[in-house]
Amino acid sequence: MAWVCDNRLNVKNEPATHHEGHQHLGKARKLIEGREKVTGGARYAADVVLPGMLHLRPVLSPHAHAVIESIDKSEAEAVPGVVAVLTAEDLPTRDRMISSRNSAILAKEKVLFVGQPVVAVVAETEAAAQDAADRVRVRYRPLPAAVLLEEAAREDATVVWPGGLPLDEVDLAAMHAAVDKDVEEIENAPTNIHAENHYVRGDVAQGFEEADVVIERTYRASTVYQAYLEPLSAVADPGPTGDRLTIYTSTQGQFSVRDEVARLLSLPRSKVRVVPMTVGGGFGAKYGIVEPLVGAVALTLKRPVQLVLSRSEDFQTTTPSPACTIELKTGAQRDGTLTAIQARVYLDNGIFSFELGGLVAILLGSYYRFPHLQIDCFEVVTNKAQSGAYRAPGAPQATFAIESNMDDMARALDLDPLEFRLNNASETGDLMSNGKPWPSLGLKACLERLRDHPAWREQAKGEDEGIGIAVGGWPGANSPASSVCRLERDGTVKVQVGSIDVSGAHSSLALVAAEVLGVSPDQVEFVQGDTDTGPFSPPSGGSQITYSLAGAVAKAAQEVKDKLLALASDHLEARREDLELIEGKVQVKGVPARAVSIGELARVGETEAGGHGPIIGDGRASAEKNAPAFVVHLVRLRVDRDTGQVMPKAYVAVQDVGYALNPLMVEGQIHGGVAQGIGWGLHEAMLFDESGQLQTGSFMDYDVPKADTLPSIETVLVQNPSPYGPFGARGVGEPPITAGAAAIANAIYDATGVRVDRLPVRPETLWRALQEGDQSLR
Amino acid sequence: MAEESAATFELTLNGERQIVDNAPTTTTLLDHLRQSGFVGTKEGCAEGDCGACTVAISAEDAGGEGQYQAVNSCLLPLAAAADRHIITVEGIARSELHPVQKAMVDGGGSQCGYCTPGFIMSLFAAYYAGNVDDRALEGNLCRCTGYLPIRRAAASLGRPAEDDPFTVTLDGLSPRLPERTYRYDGQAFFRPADLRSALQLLQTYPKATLIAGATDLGVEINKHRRRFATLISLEAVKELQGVTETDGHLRIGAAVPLSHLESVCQGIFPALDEMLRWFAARQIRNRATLGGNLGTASPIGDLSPVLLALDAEVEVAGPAGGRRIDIASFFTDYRQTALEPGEIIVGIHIPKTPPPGTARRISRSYKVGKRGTDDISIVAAAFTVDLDEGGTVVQARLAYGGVAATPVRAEGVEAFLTGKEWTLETVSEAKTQLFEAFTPLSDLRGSAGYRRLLSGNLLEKFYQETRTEADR
Repeated sequence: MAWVCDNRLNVKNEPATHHEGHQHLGKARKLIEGREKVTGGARYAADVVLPGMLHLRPVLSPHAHAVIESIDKSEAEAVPGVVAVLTAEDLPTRDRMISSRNSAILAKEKVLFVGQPVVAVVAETEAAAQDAADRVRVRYRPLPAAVLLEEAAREDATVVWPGGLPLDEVDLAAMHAAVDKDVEEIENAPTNIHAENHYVRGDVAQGFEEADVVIERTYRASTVYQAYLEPLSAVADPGPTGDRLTIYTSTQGQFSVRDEVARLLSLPRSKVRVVPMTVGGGFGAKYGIVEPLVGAVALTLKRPVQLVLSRSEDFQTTTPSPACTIELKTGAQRDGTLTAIQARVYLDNGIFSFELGGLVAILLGSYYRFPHLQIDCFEVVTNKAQSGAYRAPGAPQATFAIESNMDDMARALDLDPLEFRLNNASETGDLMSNGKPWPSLGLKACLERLRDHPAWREQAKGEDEGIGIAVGGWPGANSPASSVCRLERDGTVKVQVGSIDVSGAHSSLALVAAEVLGVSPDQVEFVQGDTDTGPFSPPSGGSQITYSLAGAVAKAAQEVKDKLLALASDHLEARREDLELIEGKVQVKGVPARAVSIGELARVGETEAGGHGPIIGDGRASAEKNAPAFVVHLVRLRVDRDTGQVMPKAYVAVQDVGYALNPLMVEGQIHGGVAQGIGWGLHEAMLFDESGQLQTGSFMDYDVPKADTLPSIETVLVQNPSPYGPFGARGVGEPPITAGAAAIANAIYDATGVRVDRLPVRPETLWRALQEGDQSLR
Repeated sequence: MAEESAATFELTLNGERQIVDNAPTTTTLLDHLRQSGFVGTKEGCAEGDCGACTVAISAEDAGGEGQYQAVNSCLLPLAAAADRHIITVEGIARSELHPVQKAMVDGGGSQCGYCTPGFIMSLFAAYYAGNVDDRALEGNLCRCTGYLPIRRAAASLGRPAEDDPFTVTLDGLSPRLPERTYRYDGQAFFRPADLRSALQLLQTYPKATLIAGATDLGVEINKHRRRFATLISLEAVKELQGVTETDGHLRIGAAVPLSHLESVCQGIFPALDEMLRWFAARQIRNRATLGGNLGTASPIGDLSPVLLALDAEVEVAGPAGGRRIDIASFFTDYRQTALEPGEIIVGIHIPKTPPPGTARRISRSYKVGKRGTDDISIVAAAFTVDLDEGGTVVQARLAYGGVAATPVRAEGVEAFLTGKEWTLETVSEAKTQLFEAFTPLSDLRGSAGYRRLLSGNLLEKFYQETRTEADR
């Protein structure tokens, strides 16, 4: 039987090298809120219960495009326990333009995608609300729809927005990475291509003339679902006055959600308070999809309202990663020098704008030095749910294309695929697709590390096995961030932040405070504030949270340290220069007898009239530049020629992390990202039929990798410090998802000589190619 | 049945007795837990696919002793929890974390934490059952960790101490479920303890839905929002229990959970072992039964091809008495069986002796899906080929799921093989015939063409795999 993964547990990871002089940073430390999470004590939005809280169940559109002819609420309203059956007309947002997924609170006149909310049924219990939702009768008149990317991009396709795409003022893609988009909106688009961007350097025609070998192929990737385990959920409480909202929600960015809710519900920002609950995974999707609806309904009914999406609703109504077609041509000289890259990228935006083209272009054309470059990106609208961010948005697709292509190129030139990459890899200062220079990056360092790794050096392969490698990268992101640090009388250091800890960021940041203050990490507590009480923070997306916030935490802690030393100087009657902060005490250097605990100093600060005052500090950070982070992944896999099934057997993930603040958290990110990358490569696809119905809308049909389908993952941390990141750190969350699909495709080629050019590689498609000896999968 | 007490039932939740008297019979255990304030147990899919809702329940192990079993609380009708101990993630820490919890924290097995309670309870049950292995994690999805830290946490677990409070509690439990009747608002739930009562109930309520593990029912309740007026649970019926050997047959009680078969039948039928290896996940196997798998007559039920390849017989009981139905005539049409109204599947008999003249039996099963476990097959196949001394086929059984409206055998190709030498040449010819043997449907899992070709290729794979090694 197939499906036997070599998933041994005794993988030896190379330990991260420890920085000289760091006591806590760089040492593995477990999750600080682990206890809550393993005892069931962590509270998620679905766990919130407020007095008088009502339950909302949505009625979603079953059509990709249709006129709403009538809505009969009578049967639903008769269900015992039902409080209201609401349509768009009943909400305060009735006059707001629908121009983005977040603004599609309830449909007006028409539905534009399967899964669009049409009616909100509210009842005293969730069961009553659902019973009533099943009894709402909506009559639709179906309209022609444009569903599939390549059909929608054709000139003769049904035009999704004949009057042009309604424009929203919020730029969603900018939440994920700081990239200039140079995008041209096309007004009153006569086709479904609503925006384009173009990057040109040199003259590609000349570049291809100089080339001895040209590799040209079209690569396709499917729509992929983030598949966080916690479906979207939120509670909105209008409070006693009804003119403000408190929203308890599952989000990656509370300030982003606050701004979206305030904007869409026409409330001042100061009247919206977002309380972030524990987040059951987000991966790019949790930025305000359901909160505007829940908030609008709560304001209308003047009672708290909870919405918890079911899994099938979550599949249909949220914002998956866009399907994408990349026509890619590259050229190289016989000695392995790349000469040109030309690409046309088509991205499936779904019904509203998402505009990922800039990122895809940067990733496609910037891993390697191409003297001549032309990349044209086309954003295509379709009658499907709006596309959105999923971990390293655009990177798995772009990496699949460029890294499959580079593998073919190396083979066509009869060069070692690793050496070929090493010779062409971008270095600090080389130009990206957008003409800007790369900040410090460690791509070559990663390749060199893998070159020396036994998995690559020894090339040990069994029958029908192949080894593939691929590089991948993420340009990085950062935003201004702040934090407050204060000292309690029992010696506890409280760090107040407004950031969201999805999967361990605070467990790394705690080490920063402990390091600066010379206390045990056990003495550091993180206090997550809401949008009213938490210092401003960027969202936890784009691998920016630790990168952005660590500097702010360090500065806040440094201010506390300065105040402690000043106070201790008076208290111990010693000069400041003679004092040191060590193990929770301030002492005169070399005289342990002359010491005072920091808790005692906190007491003095809080009680001494005319004294120094309470010990509190704040910190702000705004990194000058991003820290790009690169990976090189290797996979060894076996292909079953009778069935087309592919089984990964071993995986090595080399990643430049800059500096691993908390190696346990860093490795956790890498393992999770690799698993998702394997999902891209072999498992995951949201498949739609021609009418726009999702055919893979459950965890039975949508194939998320499981424990027994993954190989062991060996992580190799390269620490090539970023000159801009805190302690040299780089973002670590996005990069590990980028290279898996490409490495798998290259390993399949190595095993079989068949080049797969669409994702995911399902058993049937591979099997057909193997049977037919076809060089290109269709 | 005990009608006088039908208004309530009891269960024990994290050591506290609880009386249930106001819940519909189709309330799931998960909803009940969350409404009772035990919100540590999570809903991730409500279909038994993700395992976030996993809890441990007290149940019988294969030897009739008490054990904790991991189950999907989203699929379990609350009434099926009557008279059991239920343990949730909130109930396992004492003054210190439970060893399973500690291992998960220390090893970085929890990131966002939403799947964590489910993993904890899967590992908790395995910890006491002594089967902490990767199979304990098959039924749980995690999107953050890539599983490695969780698997390492699992591997670091030792054995429970003699005086472990949960071991002590188990020792004091009587695992056998009593009969139970529960009525609420026009709905009724019956759990008879013997076959006669079960048949009588079915006479009284001919439209009743028969359940055992109720894993299909839970999906119907959650996903299709179906409500059932009358449920008759067969899981306590004593005639449907146990695995016994009689006159060259193995008899498997229709209500025996598949997880028991894994241990009790291990090594007897390699094709059955292999298919059980890939059948759903442990939480489902702890509840799902062979009787249920046959009763739903799914065209892709993975165990049906195995039973077809082994010439099993289905033992049924009805108002007119008992009878046996050859498995080959059991499936009559799409989700239809040869069961008459009022009949109940009691057991499955599998002959252990090959036909006369057999010197060597080779038998294996195959499942092709998107992934390994817990998946709907594209094609499932089971083959049994009996060879004489000279390597000639005495009898062949080639059985498939996923290629027709019912699980089927390729009888024409079986006839072709009979009397032929079992060689690559013969198999190649059979493979070509198999390509044309069925007219499967195309769906999102696989095209008709792929299914047809798999039906042939799997036979060749079977030949190749069994040619070079001794039969298992």
